[in-house]
Amino acid sequence: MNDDKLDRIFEEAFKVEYRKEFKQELKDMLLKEYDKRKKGRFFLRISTVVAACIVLAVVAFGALKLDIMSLNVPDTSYVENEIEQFVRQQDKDSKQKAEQSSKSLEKNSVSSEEKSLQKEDILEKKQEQKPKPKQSSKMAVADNKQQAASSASAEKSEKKTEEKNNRSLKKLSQNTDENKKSSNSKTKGGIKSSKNSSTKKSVKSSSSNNSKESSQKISELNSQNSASAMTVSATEASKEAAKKQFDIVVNEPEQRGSESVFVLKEEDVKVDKEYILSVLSEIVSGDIYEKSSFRVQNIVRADVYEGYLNFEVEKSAAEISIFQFLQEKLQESVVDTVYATTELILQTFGIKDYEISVFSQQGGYRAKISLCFDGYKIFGADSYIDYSSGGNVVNGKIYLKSFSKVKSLRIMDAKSAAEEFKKRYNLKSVDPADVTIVYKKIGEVYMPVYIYIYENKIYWLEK
Amino acid sequence: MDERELVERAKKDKKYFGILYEMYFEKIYTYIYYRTFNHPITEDLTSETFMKVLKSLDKFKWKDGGSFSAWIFRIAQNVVNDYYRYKKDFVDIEKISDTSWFKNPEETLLDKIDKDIIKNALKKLTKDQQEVVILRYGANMKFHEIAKVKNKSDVAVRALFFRAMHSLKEMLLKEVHESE
Repeated sequence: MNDDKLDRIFEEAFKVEYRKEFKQELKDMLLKEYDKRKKGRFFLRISTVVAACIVLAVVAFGALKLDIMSLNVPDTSYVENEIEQFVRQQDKDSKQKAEQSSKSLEKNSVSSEEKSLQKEDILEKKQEQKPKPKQSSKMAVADNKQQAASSASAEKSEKKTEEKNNRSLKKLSQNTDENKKSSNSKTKGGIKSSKNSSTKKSVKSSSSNNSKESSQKISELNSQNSASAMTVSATEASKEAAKKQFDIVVNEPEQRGSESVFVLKEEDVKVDKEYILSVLSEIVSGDIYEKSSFRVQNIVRADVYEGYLNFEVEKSAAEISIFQFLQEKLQESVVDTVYATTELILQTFGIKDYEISVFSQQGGYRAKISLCFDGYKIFGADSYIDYSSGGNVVNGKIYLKSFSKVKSLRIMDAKSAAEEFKKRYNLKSVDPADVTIVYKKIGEVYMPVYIYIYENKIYWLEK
Repeated sequence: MDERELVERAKKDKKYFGILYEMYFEKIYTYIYYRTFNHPITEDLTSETFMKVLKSLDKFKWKDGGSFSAWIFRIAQNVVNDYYRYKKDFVDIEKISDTSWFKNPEETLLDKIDKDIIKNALKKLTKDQQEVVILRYGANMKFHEIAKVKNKSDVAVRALFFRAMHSLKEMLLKEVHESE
């Protein structure tokens, strides 16, 4: 018996007869079961989806209710998108302006006489725009310098004014187009570049105590400083325009009964001590004494501790004698100088959104600074700079942080907030105009909160 | 349509499940029969096997070197093993001879002669050898498929099978001589 034969025998032998009916019955039963299972799976899926929807609805309802309780209604992307567009547009504009300014700067460097004419022209324009406090304060920097320079003799200044007017008229008729370009095209980029160039020099002046060298550099810085003061005021116009544009964006949701604000986070401003010293040296050295050809050596001491920049300016004895002379200065112009210098210091450190109020105090003035974001004050970040009676920087404390948006929020409008204050604190009447938003640090972020100040009491509208 | 595609379709469409059933019914039935030698028990266990296949079909995944036939026979093997575990002993092949239950007496007689020889020879083999022979002839499986069912290497299954066949050949020759 060979293997093939054995294979065949086995193949035949292993054939099993089965009942055909059983095969069919089993098949039918299996197919029925298949249908049943399929239906079951379908209903299981449906019920899973329904259950998921119910859970989601409950969660969404809960979240919505909680947010309403805490005044924070999650914002739609509307405002955020608008702001993003605005910021992008601003970046684009500033780039274009920077390019234009660099071109115009090249043109302007043709002759020093022409340059001085332009400066005077801008100063004149600023004088015309005086009514606004912020603008006038900035103008005051240049104005004060001009006044100080001319304070030695009234006749001299009158002549100079006449001369200046004549020259301005002449210049206006000759170079109207060019002047427009140059004045309009001054941008933030322009400030930075001019400040950067001066910074290198001022670092040297503050670090070395060599009086000859430093006094020379101080005078150099002073001239640069006056240039930067002009550019700052030129920037003011673009800043104002930007603010207006921004207001339009933010006011939009107010019409719908709510205000759009942000949750903020803070970050350290990246400026090192040497930079701070150099900037402050530059500013405090560029005071009015320089114009009167006095040489003042200022020493600036500064340190940064827990986010605050503390600084102090020590003046040489020479200034004390001059200080007596400056008592004669008009108080108004000193206040303007205080405003302008404070603005200059803040802007140099990259702080753009702030409110300054100047108060007189014993021996001088104090410029109280409230840091803001989109015009809303940041609570608990108050800063100040103290000035002498002559308007010179004495010391200061500035909260050196930058603030950025984390999340957009829409909170109730001032009217509703006023009602809420009445309810919560049992107040008889709350004027919505007295209700303001401030940013308050809660944990790691700054949250927008309504406050109402009445009879020296602060009422908060929090969760 | 290859087996893989057929299985994937069978997961979603009962028509293709029907085709799979047709393909495997006879093989599974034969395998179970030669493990039990009892048609009513075979019918029960075949039904149970296919019910398990239906329930687990969605979970079946093609792995490297995976085979649907190996998977389905492993289910059948587990069902039969569970049956014997429940019964606590291995069924004596000789005692179960019920081939007459659905045939006429004449056929049964002819059939019984051949089947009896086979049964007598099979019962003298080890359990592993019996299974390999049943899967090879009863389910028409190839060695590599049997290897997957038995969780053994291809070479080991071949060796097991040829040893079984050598023994069967000797036993059958002896049976034939004795019957003559």
